[in-house]
Amino acid sequence: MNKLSVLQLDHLTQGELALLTFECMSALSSSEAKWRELKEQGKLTRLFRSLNGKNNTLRMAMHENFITAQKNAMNIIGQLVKGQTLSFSVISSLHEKVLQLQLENDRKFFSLYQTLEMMYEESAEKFKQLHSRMYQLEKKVSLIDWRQSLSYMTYHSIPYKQLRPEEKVVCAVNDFYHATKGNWQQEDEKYLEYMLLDLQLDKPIIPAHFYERLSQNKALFERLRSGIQLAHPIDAAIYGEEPLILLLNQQRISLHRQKAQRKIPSIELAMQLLTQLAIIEQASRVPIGYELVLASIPHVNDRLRINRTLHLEGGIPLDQCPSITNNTPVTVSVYHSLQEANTLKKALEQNKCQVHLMEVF
Amino acid sequence: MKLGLVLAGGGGKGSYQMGVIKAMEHIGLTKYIQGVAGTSVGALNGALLLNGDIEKACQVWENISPNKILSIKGRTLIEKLKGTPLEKMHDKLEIYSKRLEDYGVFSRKGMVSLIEESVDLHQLSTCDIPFYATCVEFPSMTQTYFQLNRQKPQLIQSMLLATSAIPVVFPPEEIEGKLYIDGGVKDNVPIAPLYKIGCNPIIVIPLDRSYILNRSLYPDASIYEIVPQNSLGHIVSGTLQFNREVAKRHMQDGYNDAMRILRPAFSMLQHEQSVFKSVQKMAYNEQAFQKIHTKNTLEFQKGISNLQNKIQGGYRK
Repeated sequence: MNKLSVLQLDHLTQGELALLTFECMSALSSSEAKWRELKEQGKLTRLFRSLNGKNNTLRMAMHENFITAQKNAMNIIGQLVKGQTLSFSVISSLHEKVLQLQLENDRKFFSLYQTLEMMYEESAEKFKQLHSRMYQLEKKVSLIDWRQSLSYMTYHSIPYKQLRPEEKVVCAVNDFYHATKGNWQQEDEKYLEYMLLDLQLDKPIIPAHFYERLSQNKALFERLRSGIQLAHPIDAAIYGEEPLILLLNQQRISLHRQKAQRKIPSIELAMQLLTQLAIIEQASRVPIGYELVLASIPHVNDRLRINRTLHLEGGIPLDQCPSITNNTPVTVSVYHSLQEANTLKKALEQNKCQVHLMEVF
Repeated sequence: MKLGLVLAGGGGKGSYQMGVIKAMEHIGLTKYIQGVAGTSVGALNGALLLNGDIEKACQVWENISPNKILSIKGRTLIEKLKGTPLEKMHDKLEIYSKRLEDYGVFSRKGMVSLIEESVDLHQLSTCDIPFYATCVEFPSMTQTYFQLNRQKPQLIQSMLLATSAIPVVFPPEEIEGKLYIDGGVKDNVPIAPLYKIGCNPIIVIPLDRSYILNRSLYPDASIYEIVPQNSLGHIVSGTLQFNREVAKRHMQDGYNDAMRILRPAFSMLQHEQSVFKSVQKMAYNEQAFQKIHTKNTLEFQKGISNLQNKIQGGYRK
């Protein structure tokens, strides 16, 4: 039997309080009866009983009964205290029990957690392996399928084989990029090479000419970047123009300046384009800056203090600060460093300002 | 617990005891009685109680009338006192003679018919609960506690008559060659026989408010009195009063007095029982829980261990 049960059964008595109460009530009742007897007796009887000592005996019996009643009352109190102590002991035992169960549950949960972690690590490893294999398989299937369906593929309703060389390169590059989901291995490049050979691009190409023609053909440019999903839209205003155009133009201008007429294998040119597409896609995933927006200030009277904070912590010229604090919500500045933006944010928040920090892509 | 019940003698005041017995029955205490002792009317009430039908016992008192019991009138009583030591009080008794016209004492005939009509003597003769009646042997005047249960019905009747045989008024009752008179002469409240057989606690129902219980005679015994709060009258107005209205009033007094004492104790007992039951239930639940919990914990540990082995085995592969 557990501790809790032993505690209760050992200490509990049944009927003890009832008996004490009975004895107490009986003694009091007897005493009251005797008191009534003394009170209600006639003068002659009183005299007679006083003389023969019976009234005195009655009084003594009354006192004895009172003593019995008081003793029992004390015993009842004692029993109640015992009961109270027992109740506290039970509560304490229950509390201890709950804590023990909680600890046991914690141990079980921990054990379960460890097992699950072990299982998860094992499963994750296997999933990763399976995923990698699946991905490779899918990619290879897509590449094989792509190469097999060459005769059916068209650009502006013209079969690939009948396209101009720059069009062939652009179409092949875009298709390859999609087939590999932008994540190709060196071994996959062979498929692109075979494809280019299938498209009769076995002769070297002059890159300068290629970029020149690409820059003049907007539709072809659109074909090159079609279906490329950017994680965040890249603000063209930051770069002055579309990042891909910028990159291609930079390439074109560089080649033009060098007056480079050097020919390179078509696969090499295709790889340059693929790399540029990958760069643009990757760049869309990384923020280029952090915009700090002052949403609101707590009170008009706090402006001077906030202006000071903007100047000291944010390095904003003092004369520009009022135009910021007077026009909330307002962009305070765009920071390249997250740490720098956070420093000013915390300083403004200490002044109870409402501040938002947003990533800029 | 061996509960004993002592019923004192007191003639017409005995209806009070029936009220107390009714209250005890109401509370559910009568079923715990393991011994009964009575003197005179107390013995008669004890017999009615042990017959087991309290309602019927109450009806005996509710239907009582002086004509049923008292065939000897007060005047006759006074006449009978002539030639006895009480003759000296003759003048004083004359004063009460007019009042005594309506009263009387137990007539042998009346008592016999009352016992025959009301008490199931055959049932008493098979009763297992010790039942004592106090008598006094005449002329030695030594008290005797007759055990009535497990006796022949005729003998029980003789014993009941003997315990009610008021000296002078009735001739002594002969039992097994000896003469006996009313036990009230020596021990009107017969606690001794129940104390002797180990009854504890003992409930005593005296019919006199001035009754003094000498506890020192019964060491280690718990003796509880249920004493009348209102006076039940004296010899003339109480003992010799066999009037149904008075009997009803005394019964009601007895019921009220007993309930006043028993109800708080009973209420306390109910609380204690409730607590005890709760604790028992809690202990039972705890045991059941422990059993299941231990089993579940072992199964859990075994399950987890197996699972970990399987995972580790798979990992090694």
